[in-house]
Amino acid sequence: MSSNLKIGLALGILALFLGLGYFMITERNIEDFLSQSPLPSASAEPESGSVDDFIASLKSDASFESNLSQEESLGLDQSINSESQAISDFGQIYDSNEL
Amino acid sequence: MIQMNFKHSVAVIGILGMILPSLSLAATSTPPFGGQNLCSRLGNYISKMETRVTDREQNILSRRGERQNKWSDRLSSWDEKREAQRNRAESRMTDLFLKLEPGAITDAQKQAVMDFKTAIQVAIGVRKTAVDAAILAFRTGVETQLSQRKIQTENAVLAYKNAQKAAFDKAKSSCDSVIVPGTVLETLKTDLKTARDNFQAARTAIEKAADKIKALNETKKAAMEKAHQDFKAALEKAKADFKAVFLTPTITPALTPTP
Repeated sequence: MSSNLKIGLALGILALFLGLGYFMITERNIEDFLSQSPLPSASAEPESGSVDDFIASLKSDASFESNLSQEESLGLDQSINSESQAISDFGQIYDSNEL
Repeated sequence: MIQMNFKHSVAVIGILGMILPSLSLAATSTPPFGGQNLCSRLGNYISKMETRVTDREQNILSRRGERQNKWSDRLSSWDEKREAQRNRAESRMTDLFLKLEPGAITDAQKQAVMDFKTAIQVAIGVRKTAVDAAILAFRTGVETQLSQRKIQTENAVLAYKNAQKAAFDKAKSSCDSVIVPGTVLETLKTDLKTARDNFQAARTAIEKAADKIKALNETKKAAMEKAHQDFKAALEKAKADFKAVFLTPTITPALTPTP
């Protein structure tokens, strides 16, 4: 066996081990990643970090903003009604039956 | 004969006994300002009406002040809540991408994470712009309407006060002259009724501000609803695009659905 062939064989075996190791690490990373992030998880807590939960929380935020905005309008309506009542009372100052 | 006359006399006295107290009562229970009583009691009536005007005008001012303070406080509170919510969302987004990025191995996955991040940021930005614009348009419109309403109310109150004072001045002047008290009363009634009717007409215009504010609210509501729907659609698309890459069988063979 020539020395070149021996060196080539050794490098080949080394490359095989390196490739296998890389594959194992990569597969583990992907599995770890998928197990905690992008897959839907019905039992996950709202802020567990999954994509589904994150999207759900953003939608919830949007609903919160809409509700907040309606609360703003409702509060204003009540204040205006109160003022309207005072204006209406002013319009009742004169009672013809008192004369 | 004498007996008959006596019976008649008793009957007449009895009838008079029933009628006279009523006549006497009628003479003392005439309406407060009816006929000749008007001029003698006008001063009290004017005083009572002026006090009533002052009290009710003060009530309007008080309610307006309460409304302005409450509105101002609530605006700050709502803005703070909105801002806090947005900050929390920002923080959650940062956390999520810190977890996603290391897990992206292939170029396609790395690109998918970047695209997802961009899509989310754009969706949040678009929604924020739309919501903020809707809120600003609403608040600006409300301020305009409330400002107009304030001026209209002040003008209506002032017009009423002036009309009432003119009516009282006229009545006092008439009482000092030879005008028949009954005429003075009728004129005063007409003048005060006109003042009241004019105020009521002005009030109808004042209340239109409330309708306009309701319309502004509906516009805001529709704009926010659209922003909400667009936002949800953008989020769903971003999520679907992201998952399409990460759930591709060639990348994650372990997760390929088995038949």
